[in-house]
Order: sequence, then C-alpha cells, then structure tokens
Amino acid sequence: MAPSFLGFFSTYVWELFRASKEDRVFHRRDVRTVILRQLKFTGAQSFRLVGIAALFVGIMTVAQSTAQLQRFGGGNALGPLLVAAIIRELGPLLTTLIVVARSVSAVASELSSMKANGEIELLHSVGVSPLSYLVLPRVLGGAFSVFLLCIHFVAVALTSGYLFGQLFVKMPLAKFVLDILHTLSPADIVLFTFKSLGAGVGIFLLATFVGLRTSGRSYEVPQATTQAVVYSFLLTFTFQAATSLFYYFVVMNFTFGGSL
Amino acid sequence: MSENFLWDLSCVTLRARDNNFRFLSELKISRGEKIAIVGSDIEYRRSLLRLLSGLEAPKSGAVFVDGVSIPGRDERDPWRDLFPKNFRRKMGISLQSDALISNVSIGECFETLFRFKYGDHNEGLKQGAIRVPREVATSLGMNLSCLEKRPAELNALEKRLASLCLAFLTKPSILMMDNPSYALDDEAWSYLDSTIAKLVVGTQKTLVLSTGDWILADSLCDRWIVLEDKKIIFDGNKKAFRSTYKKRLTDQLSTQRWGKIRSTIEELEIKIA
Repeated sequence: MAPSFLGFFSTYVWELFRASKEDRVFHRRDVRTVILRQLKFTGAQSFRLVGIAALFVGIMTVAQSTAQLQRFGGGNALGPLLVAAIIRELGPLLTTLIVVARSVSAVASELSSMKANGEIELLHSVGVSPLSYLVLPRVLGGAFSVFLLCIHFVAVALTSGYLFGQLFVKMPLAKFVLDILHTLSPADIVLFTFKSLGAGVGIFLLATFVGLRTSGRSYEVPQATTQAVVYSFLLTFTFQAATSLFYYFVVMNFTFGGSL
Repeated sequence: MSENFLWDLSCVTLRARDNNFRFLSELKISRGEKIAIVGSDIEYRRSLLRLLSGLEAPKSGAVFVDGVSIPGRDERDPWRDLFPKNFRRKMGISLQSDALISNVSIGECFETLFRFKYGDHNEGLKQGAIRVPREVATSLGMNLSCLEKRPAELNALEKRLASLCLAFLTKPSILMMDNPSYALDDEAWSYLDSTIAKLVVGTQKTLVLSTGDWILADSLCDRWIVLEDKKIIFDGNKKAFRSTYKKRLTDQLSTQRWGKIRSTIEELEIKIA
C-alpha cells in the first residue's frame, strides 16, 4: 500500500506544479480570492484557539523549567530554554496539530464532498484544472496561515511564560528579551520558518490529495476526513522530529555531552 | 483515421460504472452532426458520453479527437485533462448530476469558470465575465435572480437551466448533454425542449445527446445510436430509425407528456405514414 500511495502522491505533487505553471495561477484573481478565503478560515478563525493554547503552553513550560532550573542553580537560563522549547519545538509542532484538527479535516471533507457531488467533474468538463483552482490556493493559503499562527503562538507563549515566571524568579523584561535575542540565532529563524511552512505545505497537500483521491461516493467523505487527519498527524510528528534531528546533528554539529 | 471526423473511435473497450466492460468496434462523428445515444443499456450510454467528453479514458483501443490521438489515462494521474486545450474550449457539457460549485452563488460560479477559461488579463474579458453569463441566462429564459442564489436554493428546472447555461457559457460549437430532460415534469420538459431546440436545431453546432427520452432526441437529433445488451444495435439516420423503431417511438409518444406532445404525434404520424 505504501509504495503505491507514495507513487500517487509524488505524481500528484508533480501535476500540481505543472498545472499551476500552465494555468499561470498567480495572475488569476479567482485563485487569489480562494487563497484569501483560506487565510481567513485557517489563519484568522484559528487565531483565538491558537492563542489560548499558547497561553497555557507558555505557563506550563515556565512552571516546569523554573522548578528544574532552580534545583540545578540555572535560574538565569530561562530565556535560552524558552527559545529551545517554544521557538524550535513546541511552537511549530502544536500549531500544526491544531491546524490539522481544525482545517485539514475541513479541507479533506470539503474536497471529497465536492467529488461526490460531481463538482470536480464539472471543473474538468469546462477545462478548469481542479489542481489550479482548488488545490494550490488551499495549500498556499493553509501553509502561510500555519506560518503566521506559529509566530502568534510563540509570541503569546513567551509573553505568558515571562509573566508567569515572575512569580518564581524576578527578572526584568529587558533582560528576558535580551536573553532570548542573544540565544536566537539566524539558524533558529530558518529552522522555525522551515518547520512551520514545510509542515503547512505537507499537511494541506495530504488533505487535498486524500480528498480528491476518493472515488466519488458519499460514504467515503468521513473515511477521507479521518484518513487525512491521521496521515497529517503522522506527517507532522515525523517531519518535526526529522527536521530537529537534522538541525541538531548536522547544522549545529551537536554531540551528546556537548551543549545546545 | 481522418481529420474530417471530430471523433474517430475504433476497437475501444470501456469500463462502465457497473464494472462491466463494453466494446465498441467503430464510431465516427463528423462536425455538425446531431447524435442521439439511446437504448436500455444506461451504463453504456453514460460511459460512451463520458468518453466522448474526455471525462473517462478508454481501457484500450484507438481514440482520435479532431485528428489528435488520445492516450489512455495513466492510473496514477487522474488529474490531467485527456483532451487538448483548444478542443476542450470548443466544448460545452451538461451532466445529469447538474453539479455546480456549491459554496458560491450561480453567478459567481459562471464568472469564475468564464475567467478561468479565457483569463481576465484585459478589460474586455473582465467585462465579458460579468456580461456573458447574464446574456446566456437570459437567452435560456433563466430568471436573473437565480444568479444570486446558491445551487442548493434552486429548484430542479432552475438547476437544469443553470447547468445548460454553463454548457452554453463559452458559446461552444460542440455540445454534450447527459439526460437533460431527466426528472422534469411536463411543463418543464416542454420548456426545456423548446429552449434547447432554439439554440441547437438549424445551427452548425455538433450535438451528442445521451438520453432515455426518445421524444426529445427526435426533436433535436438526426442520427441515432441505440445501445442494448452491451453493444450498438443500431446506428443510422432519423428516417431509418423511425422506420425501425416506429412502434417503440409511438408507444413512448403515446404514454408520455400529453400536454405538449400531441402536436408532435400528429406531425410524426404524418411523416411515418
């Protein structure tokens, strides 16, 4: 099953590139409209949910790390620890998971319903590629939304973490910000961008693929939705772990016993 | 293979939705022909229309469209259009499902598809995307207020008309219709029949009509293909068809749609006599 799935998927991605180039999608007002709709649905409408999750993640991270750091006498290492935990790992991971639960399922069910209703065939019949009109705007809008939501998540988590940390360790705001800025390297920013955009592109490609791959029967809609969510969860964890390992072992040349 | 034919099919195997195969030894369709595909093998009818519309690939055999060979679809690649772009632009297709893009209004759906087909890179096309759908809708007698509604808010006739609008939107020279009169009441049927006839009969348009409605086919088409038991059992002109299927045609005439058809029966009886 896996090789055939991957074979289909790679052909799908290739066809997406080809159709987008052929249809000159970025010159089309209708494509831009769908991208904006997707940004609204995935980005703007998830803003509050991601904010609430980030608020509690920031508090939990600080609560856990402050206790451990104080035990080992590393009370000043809160900034670097937050950079490592939230910017490099938790921000992109949790934001992507929230988007999977909220938007990936919606996109997969929307496309499989469209297929069941004959709307995909309608597009084919009038010579409009569903890849250009339906898939690409959703992938681009969705991926950019994930990126923006990740920034939002990090900002809220660091703020809540700082405010909650004041209960345990009094630290001036300027010092906290400077600590983070000193710890944050250009490689971190590249890693963060790559993780959020890469995961965004990956999960929305998968959702659209699974949605369009159904044979057009209505009972397949819930199956496609579940499948898209499960595959996207797996992809998210694998992608985040692989990227982190690559970053630590190849880019940062990390060895056990060394420092991050 | 000749370039004089719009479609030239030989030794084609089709896989219908009932998962059975149908074999087609030869079929040639010229420009300007108006063909009715009728018969009790509904799956064959539908598959053949879908094949001619480029929505389905043959399992084997040679298919030429406007002189261009159409390859069988790679199983991995169901996303690529089988037909050449310039041929697709000439086609207007009305499917039985009456599918329309469900999350936008009918007018927005028309405008989007028009822009996608022709682009919107100049002012003329931008204006055209707004003007043409209204003109087509008016010519089909569709209430313009329907353009503001979503597909779910339309009744059966309005949906059928919207689907026809879509087929006529880009002024096609080739029209494909799948059971356009399906599930309509007499009054709606009568209206639809006269509307399609007005737009098609006496024009140079090529029409391929797959239908179980012989009366509609009789008023629109001049060549008939009858499909029964997984094969073509008749392929000929209107005159030959009427003489071969006189009884069945008059049976259908006498049982269906009394309101409008009485005059057609008289006309047909005179011709058959």
